[in-house]
Amino acid sequence: MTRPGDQFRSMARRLYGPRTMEHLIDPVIADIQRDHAEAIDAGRLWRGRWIRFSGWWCILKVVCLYALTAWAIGRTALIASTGTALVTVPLVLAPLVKAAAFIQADGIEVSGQLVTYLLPQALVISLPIGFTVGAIWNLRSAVATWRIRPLILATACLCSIVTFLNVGWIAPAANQEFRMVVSGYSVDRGTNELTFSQLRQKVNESGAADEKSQEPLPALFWYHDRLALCAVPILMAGFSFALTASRRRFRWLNAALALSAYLSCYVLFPPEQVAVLLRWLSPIAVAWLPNTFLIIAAASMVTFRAQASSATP
Amino acid sequence: MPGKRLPTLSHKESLILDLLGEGDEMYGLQLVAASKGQLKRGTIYVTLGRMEEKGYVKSRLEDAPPEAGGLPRRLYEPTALGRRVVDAWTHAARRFSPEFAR
Repeated sequence: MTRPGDQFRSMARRLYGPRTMEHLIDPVIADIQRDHAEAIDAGRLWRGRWIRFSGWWCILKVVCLYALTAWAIGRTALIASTGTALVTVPLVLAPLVKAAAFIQADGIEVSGQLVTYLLPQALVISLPIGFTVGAIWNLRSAVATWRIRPLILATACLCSIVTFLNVGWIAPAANQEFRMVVSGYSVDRGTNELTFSQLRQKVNESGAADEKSQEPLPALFWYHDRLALCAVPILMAGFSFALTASRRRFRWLNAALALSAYLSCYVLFPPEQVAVLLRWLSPIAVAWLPNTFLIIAAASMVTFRAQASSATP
Repeated sequence: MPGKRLPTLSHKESLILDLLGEGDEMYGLQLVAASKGQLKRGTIYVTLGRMEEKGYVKSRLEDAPPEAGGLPRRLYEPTALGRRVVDAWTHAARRFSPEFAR
């Protein structure tokens, strides 16, 4: 006769990690097995059967509770993905609409491949936004944030690395492919189609010559613009932590306002308008402006909350 | 301070720390029995796991291999942090709402 929980344990070892087994599954099974053994040794057969039956019920409850905890992480990932998708769609559609005249004139079919070329440039903006929505969802309750903060920071770092690879190499290559498909012939790479290293080289070569350049924005701006984009996920993590300082009922409103303002910095300001800013500010300052705005918004929330707390008797 | 939060302590966690503070190390079902129905078999292990993550309790496997076979039991005892947290919460409860103080 097998001991209660032995079969479940051998199955659970394939599903759960060593820590979960040691600290959650094994203690349950150990207690049930020992209780069962003591009942059988004492000749209490029916008591043993009851322990076996109720033990299964107990294991089921523990597994369900654990799954609910795991689902909380899955749900956060789902919300972050939905947020990313919702921002990605308009960012993919916008260049398609802009290129509609070329696409119609040349009879180019709007295929999945064409949309794929536009995804990387959209993800540069939408990934940090989606990540922030997920982080804020996770931190919507102030309880136990200290447990989840390292996870959010680690995810932010991962997002930053992905964005770095994306803006550095993937998006430029995809942009160039899109331009070639739409135009129908080989075109020279523009600043947005240069890889990180090529852009850096252009910055080094241009220097003062940038002022005479035909391009509306200097290479130095684009270089720092990309660096600023890479830093966004980590800044967004800090921003979501700062949001927990605001009152719960205003948290989503604050987040929506700040994220909309941040997004509008990239969507509503075409190069011509950015060029106007460059008359007063350096290219580096203009490139880091949206991030600076985000830092100011986060600092304001924390300061405002601190002042409100100190004013409360 | 806005950045630092007090460690949280649920009613169940407080009860477990109280029970563990009374004597020797205890295992899960022993805590359920000692709580006189306030703790349930299905939730005690998840709560203990969470408390271990928070650093309120520490655990070890029992020394002697069980004669009747089966897995060794996991024994729990409160940590210094756990004792401090439960003391602080009891003190706060007594100060702000004497009717809820133990």
